[in-house]
Amino acid sequence: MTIPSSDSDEVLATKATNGSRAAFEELVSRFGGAVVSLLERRLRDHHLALDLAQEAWVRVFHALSRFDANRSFRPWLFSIVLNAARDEGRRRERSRVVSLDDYRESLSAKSALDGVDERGLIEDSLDRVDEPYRTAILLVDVEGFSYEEAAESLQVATGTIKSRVNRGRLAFRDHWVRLSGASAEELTIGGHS
Amino acid sequence: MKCQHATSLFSDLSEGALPESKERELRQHLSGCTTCASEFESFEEALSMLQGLQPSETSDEVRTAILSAVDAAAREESGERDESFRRAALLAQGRTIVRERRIRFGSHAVAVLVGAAAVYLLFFFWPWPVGDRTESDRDLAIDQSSGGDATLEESIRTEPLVAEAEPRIEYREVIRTVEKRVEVPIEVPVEVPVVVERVVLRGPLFELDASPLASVLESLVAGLEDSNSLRERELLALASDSTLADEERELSQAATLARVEDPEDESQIFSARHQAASVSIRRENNDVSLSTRGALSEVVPVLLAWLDNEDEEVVALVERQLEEIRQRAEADPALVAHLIQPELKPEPTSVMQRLFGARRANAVTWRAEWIAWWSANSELLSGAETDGFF
Repeated sequence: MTIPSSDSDEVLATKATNGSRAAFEELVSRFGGAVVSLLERRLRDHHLALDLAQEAWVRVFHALSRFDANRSFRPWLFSIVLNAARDEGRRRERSRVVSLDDYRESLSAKSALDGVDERGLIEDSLDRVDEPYRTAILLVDVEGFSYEEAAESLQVATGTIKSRVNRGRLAFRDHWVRLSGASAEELTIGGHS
Repeated sequence: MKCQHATSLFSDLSEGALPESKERELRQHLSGCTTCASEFESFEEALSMLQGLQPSETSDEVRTAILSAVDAAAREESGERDESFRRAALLAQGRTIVRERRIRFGSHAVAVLVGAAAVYLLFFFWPWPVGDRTESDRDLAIDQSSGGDATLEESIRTEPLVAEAEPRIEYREVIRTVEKRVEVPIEVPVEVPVVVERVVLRGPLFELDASPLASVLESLVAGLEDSNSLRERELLALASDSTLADEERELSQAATLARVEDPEDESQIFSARHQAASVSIRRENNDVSLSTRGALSEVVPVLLAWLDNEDEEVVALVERQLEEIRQRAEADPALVAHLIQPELKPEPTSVMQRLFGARRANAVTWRAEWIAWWSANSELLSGAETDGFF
């Protein structure tokens, strides 16, 4: 079956619910990369992120019959993905924890490999932003979610997301300026007035 | 305007989301404060860098890996090699139908089980004072039990098994509660979100899609922290203190009661109160505490729903509580009996009416499974001296 590229996410989800693998494949094409990318930044481990993305999409597949086509698909998808990430976070707390330094090394290696220093700097700054602020800015600023969509994905109030995004951006700005070589002291919040 | 407040408005300013007067005030501050002006400049520059990251494309590697995993799950689900995705997807949809049919055709068995279990409960576990238990009470209970089967069967046949409740209570109610306590009006500079965003009732269990407590407190504290007002800072101190904790439970109960669609339907109110009173999680001076009331058959599902909470402290606490309940239930049947609080029980003479008079199928099935649970676990109570507890 051919899937028109103009089909909305919700139409695709409905078709997938009715057994269309092509529709599901199109959804994976649209969001698979974003899911892996979000998980990778959250878990600081590419291979684990890919494993978890597979698990999350299987959860999505099983939950499709409960998807309400009157609601947006993207926040629904990401709420499942983020729940899977939280479950994984709890599992990892009980067992192995990937060191931040190791992950940064892998990021540095990756950016050196890519030969894109500026992007590496941004990624590194982003990685240093603490949760839950990092996920908030990832959804809103990188993936382009509205505040309402991000709130639905994270299952928190919109006001909470707005607050997290502002704090996340400020933290990102601090790390980015610091890593860029600017004076950190000049930019410390609350250090004046 | 002070600098910290100015900083908290950077996103709004950048997005043009500030009211005109506020934006004028902020820009006036920036023109007179070189530090804030410099911070805003670097903020906008960093934001543009951040937003310049392209949304991630899906590589072939990722698409193949995901689809392979889903296909494997579908094959396992459908037991078929070919067209497994389609079969598994349809099977997932068909499960509800299969379940409904089973209940319909098996309604006699359900009715017999429910009736027997209810009578068993009435005579052995319900909190009617021994001296007041009259022959007419018993007759009434038994009559309603047999008459209630048809209602149960009818409800299951006509109503969906899953229902959603619309959000009814809002953040401003939390603010009003704090205001009442401190006797000063509050203006919180954040958007007003709903407290209960969505509640899904599913058979005997229910799921809270958003935790009222976590969302409200986080918004409240975030809003007040962002504020520069001395009065609001005082309120923040109050809100962080145990003084708010007493209100939280009331709010939680109010939120639950607000889900009731028909205030005249006693069974709905009873069900909502039952759920509201089951678990209370409080945050006092950054410590989280948890207490439970009610039958274990209700406490446990509510605790399970809390496991999805974002607050890891809450989750850890809930996990400990579940483990404790499990251990205690295994070790001490008398203690299990103690956990059934008499004040949560309905009036004995109207028990059957409330059990079987429910209009919504989810309430009926919830009740039915609740009773079945007790029936199945009655051995836990077999050695207990229950008379003394009720």
